[in-house]
Order: sequence, then structure tokens, then C-alpha cells
Amino acid sequence: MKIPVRVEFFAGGLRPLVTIILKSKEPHIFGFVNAIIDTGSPTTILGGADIQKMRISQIQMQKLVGCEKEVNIGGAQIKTRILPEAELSIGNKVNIKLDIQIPVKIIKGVPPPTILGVDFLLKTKSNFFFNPSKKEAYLETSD
Amino acid sequence: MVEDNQQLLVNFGRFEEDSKWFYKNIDLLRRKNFTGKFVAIKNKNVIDSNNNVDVLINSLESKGENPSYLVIEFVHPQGTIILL
Repeated sequence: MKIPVRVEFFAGGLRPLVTIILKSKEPHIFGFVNAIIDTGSPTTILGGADIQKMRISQIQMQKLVGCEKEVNIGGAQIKTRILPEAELSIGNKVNIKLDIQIPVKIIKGVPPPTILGVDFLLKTKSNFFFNPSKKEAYLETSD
Repeated sequence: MVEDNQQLLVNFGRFEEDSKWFYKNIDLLRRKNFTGKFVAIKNKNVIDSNNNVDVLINSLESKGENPSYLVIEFVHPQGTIILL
């Protein structure tokens, strides 16, 4: 199955971008998010503005697991913890559970965008095709 | 449940359309002095903006909006390059 990926100009160049639905029961999280597919990133990380718009309370933040980990991304320096078993779906086409990194502190810089990393591609068992010259991109899953 | 799912997909489609609108119109937003601000988009219109995303989200909630369903993006200055 081919899942279309948009190609948009963002902060200096063309990026492959998809809209995902993010859900979690504990802590309770729900929202729509634009995510850049980044094969240079091993992990999936939720953008700073995206986590803020979902209004996660400090009590809910305590339900994140693992110790705070420092991540440098897009000129920003942030600390993250893990949201285990987050549900990510692209419309009604892809639906997976994945541990994702959630920014808990922005030390400096503008909050980074949401990134779908290689862990997303592994979990969905998908190929990723990106042809910037034709502004064409898609994910291809085996089912 | 089926209806809930259908409504979710309708909202998802609107969000995608608003996202596309944002990226297509980012130069227009810069000309309208939104550079360096977070903007909230609904039905292909900027409904609110602020330099601080927390202030923006509070403002949206006070207007009865659910920020989780809205496109909220930062308008980077022209020429900004973000290496991921």
C-alpha cells in the first residue's frame, strides 16, 4: 500500500511531511501533528509546540518513563523523556504503537518540529521514497 | 464509534488542508508581520498568533478552541535554515 507524503518547503528546503494522529492513554494525549520524515534521525520525537498544544499537565508528565536525555536538534537544545506505546496513525491507513521522545524542557532555541525517525519506518515495515525534484514522496508498506 | 471515527477523519482532513495552506502561504504570512511568531490556522485563516506558544494556546482556549485540532506553526524568518 502506498501512503502519500506531502513535500513542503520548510526552513531552508523541501521536506517530506505527513499529518499524523497521536494518541496515548497514560498520560492522556490526543492531537493532530505535522511530522517531518527524517531518515537521519534514529528516533521519533514530538515537537515542542506540538506537545504544548496538547496541554499535558505536570502530573501527566510524570507518567513519562526513563531519565531525562539531552537532545540537540535543529539548533535547539532540549531534554526529553519517553512516552511509551504512543499510538500513531496516518488517517486510517497506518496505525502503530511506538515509544516516542517527548520534550520536557527546552534549554535553548526555538522548539523543533515533530520528526518521524527510522524507528517509525522499522515499526511500519515501510519503504520511504522521496524525489525532491518532482516533489514526490510516499511510504510503501507491505500490506 | 463509527461516527466518532468518521468525525475524526473529517477533522483530520481539515487539519491537512490547513497545513497545506500554511506552507503555501508562508511568504504572505511574513509580509503580514507574523515572522517570529506562532500562528494558529483554522479554515485557511490565521485565527490567533503570539511570540509565545503558551500564551497563544491560552488565548485559543479562552476563545473556545481546542488547540489539539488546530495547525499551530512557527513562522521562521526568511532565509532560516534548520538542519535536522
